Amino acid sequence: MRVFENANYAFIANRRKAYIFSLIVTLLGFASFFTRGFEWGIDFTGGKEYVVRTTVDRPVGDIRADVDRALGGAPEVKRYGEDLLVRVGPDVEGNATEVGEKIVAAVGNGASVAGYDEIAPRFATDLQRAALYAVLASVIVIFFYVLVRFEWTAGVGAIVSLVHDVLFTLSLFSLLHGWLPFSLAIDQTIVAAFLTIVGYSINDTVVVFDRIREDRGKWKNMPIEEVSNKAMNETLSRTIITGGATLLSLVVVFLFGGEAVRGFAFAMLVGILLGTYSSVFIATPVMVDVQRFLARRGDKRFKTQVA
Amino acid sequence: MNSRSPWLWLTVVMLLATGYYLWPTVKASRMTAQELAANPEERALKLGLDLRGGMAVTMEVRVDELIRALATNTDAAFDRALQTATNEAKTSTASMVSLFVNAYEEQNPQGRLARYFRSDVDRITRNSSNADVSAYLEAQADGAVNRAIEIVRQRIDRFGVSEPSIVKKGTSRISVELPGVADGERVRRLLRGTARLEFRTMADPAALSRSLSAIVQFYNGRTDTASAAADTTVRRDSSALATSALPTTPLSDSNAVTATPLSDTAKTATATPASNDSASRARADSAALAQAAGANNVLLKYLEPAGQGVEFGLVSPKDTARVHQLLSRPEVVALLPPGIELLYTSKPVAPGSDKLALLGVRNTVELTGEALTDATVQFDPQTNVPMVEMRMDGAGAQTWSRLTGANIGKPVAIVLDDYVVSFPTVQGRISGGVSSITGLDGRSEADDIVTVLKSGSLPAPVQIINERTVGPSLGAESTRNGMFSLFLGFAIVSAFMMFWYRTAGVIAAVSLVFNLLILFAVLAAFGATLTLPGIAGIVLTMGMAVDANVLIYERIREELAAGKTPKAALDAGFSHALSAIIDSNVTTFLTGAILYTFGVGPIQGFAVTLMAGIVTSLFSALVVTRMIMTYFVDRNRAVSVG
Repeated sequence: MRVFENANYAFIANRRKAYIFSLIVTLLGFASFFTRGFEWGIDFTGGKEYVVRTTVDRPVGDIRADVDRALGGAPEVKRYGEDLLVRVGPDVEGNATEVGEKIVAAVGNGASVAGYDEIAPRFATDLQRAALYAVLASVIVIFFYVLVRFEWTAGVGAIVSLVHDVLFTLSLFSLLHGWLPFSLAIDQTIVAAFLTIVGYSINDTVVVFDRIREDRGKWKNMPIEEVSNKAMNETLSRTIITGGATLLSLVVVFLFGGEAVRGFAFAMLVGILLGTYSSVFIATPVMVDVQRFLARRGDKRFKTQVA
Repeated sequence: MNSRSPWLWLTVVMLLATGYYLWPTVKASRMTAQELAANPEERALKLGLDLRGGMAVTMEVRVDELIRALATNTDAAFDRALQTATNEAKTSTASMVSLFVNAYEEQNPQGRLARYFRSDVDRITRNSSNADVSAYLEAQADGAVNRAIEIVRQRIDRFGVSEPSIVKKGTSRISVELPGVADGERVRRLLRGTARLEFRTMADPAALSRSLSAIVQFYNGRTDTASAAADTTVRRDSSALATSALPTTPLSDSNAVTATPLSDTAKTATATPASNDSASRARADSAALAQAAGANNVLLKYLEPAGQGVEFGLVSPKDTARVHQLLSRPEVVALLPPGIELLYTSKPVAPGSDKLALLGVRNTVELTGEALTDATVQFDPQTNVPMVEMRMDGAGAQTWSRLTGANIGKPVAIVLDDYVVSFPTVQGRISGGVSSITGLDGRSEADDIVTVLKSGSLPAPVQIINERTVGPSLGAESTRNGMFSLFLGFAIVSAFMMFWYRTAGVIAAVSLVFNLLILFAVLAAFGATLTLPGIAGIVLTMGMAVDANVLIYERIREELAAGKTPKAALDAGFSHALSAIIDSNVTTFLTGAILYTFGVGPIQGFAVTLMAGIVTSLFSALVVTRMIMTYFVDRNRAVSVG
């Protein structure tokens, strides 16, 4: 089956539309960071999280009110597949067993604790630190990788696109939490998803850059806009197919992998889609724009249409 | 090109290795749980707790408590340095000992640590430098953590869990995984207890009774606003899940002697709550409290005075923190008989009530658990109720004999980790060095006490900082979901490839099967643990694994379109796609390595499968796919790339 065989889309010419779209979502996301914030998992705040199995079919709001009456401290209660997820902060007193018994009593007949996780604030700060280090380390490692492997204008494009992917996904997590029927809590798993997104996004970008490098060797006199557009069209089939295969497998995890990995699969789904989008619409166009800028400043290495 | 030579052999070797490493897993999966327990397959692929169900606990050895315990004498400067170090430890990765030493040197530039830690055995003298002391403390801390791991291991072994895992994490943490265990309460009790066993004599009933009336008198007409405020800070400070009930006095408390807020009932009662913010709510609370107490007594609200024998009073478990606050005011402590402290019983004393008794116990420890030579579970001949019988060595037996001889008709407290587990009245001199703990709930509690006594006492208190339990049904569900996703993911990705690339797609699907088999073998070979995020990682790598195939096939299509022969197109396709394949996998692999370094538990499972998946997918695309395609092309059979 061949679909994008002789594709010839004007990616570079239309890049500003993509810039504007991404900018709008990211700005909305930024506004949301400060107004709506995030749903935080106990990994980073400390506290207790219970998976409660119940046959009682009551509105979640009622159950939340009952649990709050029993425990105090404004617990979070939400649907978790067929179960309930109850999250309480670190200031709720009692050990995991005691609090679990109170929750079960508040939820009502036939409820039972199927599993729980409790994190001391002291441990949560460690996890915060580990997550921060992991993010910093991967940014540094990938930055140096791109620096060594490609010329710096391409590096700028790659870094901009991966920052874009993570900010965009974070924006969606902030904008959508509470609206979707599953938990969008930011925890260790989500950080892992973000780092994988970063790895994947670079992966996609690298394939396009590889092709640009090759094509520039072949067509030495072609302006950069044209070479880039050509390379992107040549790799489009691959970009779509790989993205498609990965998306298919992620959809499977998202739908059938269970509640424990649903937020993770959601982050990855969004991230892979964005990684594919950004390698075409952000990474390469940014590189082209940087090179155009340099050419205008008189840098002779770059052949551009407006030089 | 001779297609047979290296690639075929490499593939055969890989397949043999795969079979070798996967065989134990296959064998284990065909055995029943009983057979497995009797004959565990050490080399089978392990399932994580999130899949098989069980309990994971991370404990931290309290090195700050150890430093305090090692000090032969302390003063305000010592306390301040230790407090600073404890605070800094919350945000620092440096060891507690170095934080303490730094804090002390900073606060006391001329200070010498040797004066606190003199020890003849370890050659810490008056002249030892701070560096010597620091090295000594580090060694002690390290030894304490390793010994704690040993003791935890012994306790777990006696507990009887199959395939437990006990691992040291960082400098002072122990991570314990107990498959198939879900009784959090029991595990906590087993792991946390320092198992410090003490035999102590108890307070004189008459003196204790006098103190009780004096203390009740003290609280007559007095509100507990001061202690209520202190209470909330204590609650916020308890950053650990489970702290041993050591009454550590915060530094600021020493000031409380001079400045005791004595707001009287009338004044507080007139304070009207205004708004809904937490501060005014707290004020409203204490006002209500004072009002309710009224002429009554705030202490008596929480403590039911007993005033009989060695019992001071009865307290409901939920009020112990508040009562502790009320009774630890310096003026109140001064009213207790000299040399007496109040300790709780480990369980309710009266049937049908949940209240714990607060007992007057002497400070002086007469005999410790070190004197024990053996502890066993026995059954009371009359009632058949389980009890723990303890035997002592020669010196211990002598002390015990003297102690019991001097206290006939009086109770003796057996204190375990600052809780009175038993306070039998001495009937007569016991000369054989035998004593027992009675009044236990059942066999399992007796077993657990024997376990902690026999494994020895922990060198320093431990705190549980993370506790995760996955019930068996939840684990089974996750396994089902994970496996279903795995098969469905495989089916869909394969179908997609076949649809897109026809014959070449079938070859890609075959190499995907190889990829999965080798991936599982690699995980088993490295002793990795399969978790739910790990399975998600495998499904994800399936999507990414076909990427290499896609890059190659797209390239072959282009080369064919450029007019090359199938064989030339194949070779060109592989060689041209190589740099893109390597480039695109390196970054994901690096991300996996970073996640593995900083991640915890299930995340590491994800990182491992991600890294292993990248390596195996490279192998299957570059070796297996190529071998099969070359086989067909060499025989002049057309391989359709769609």
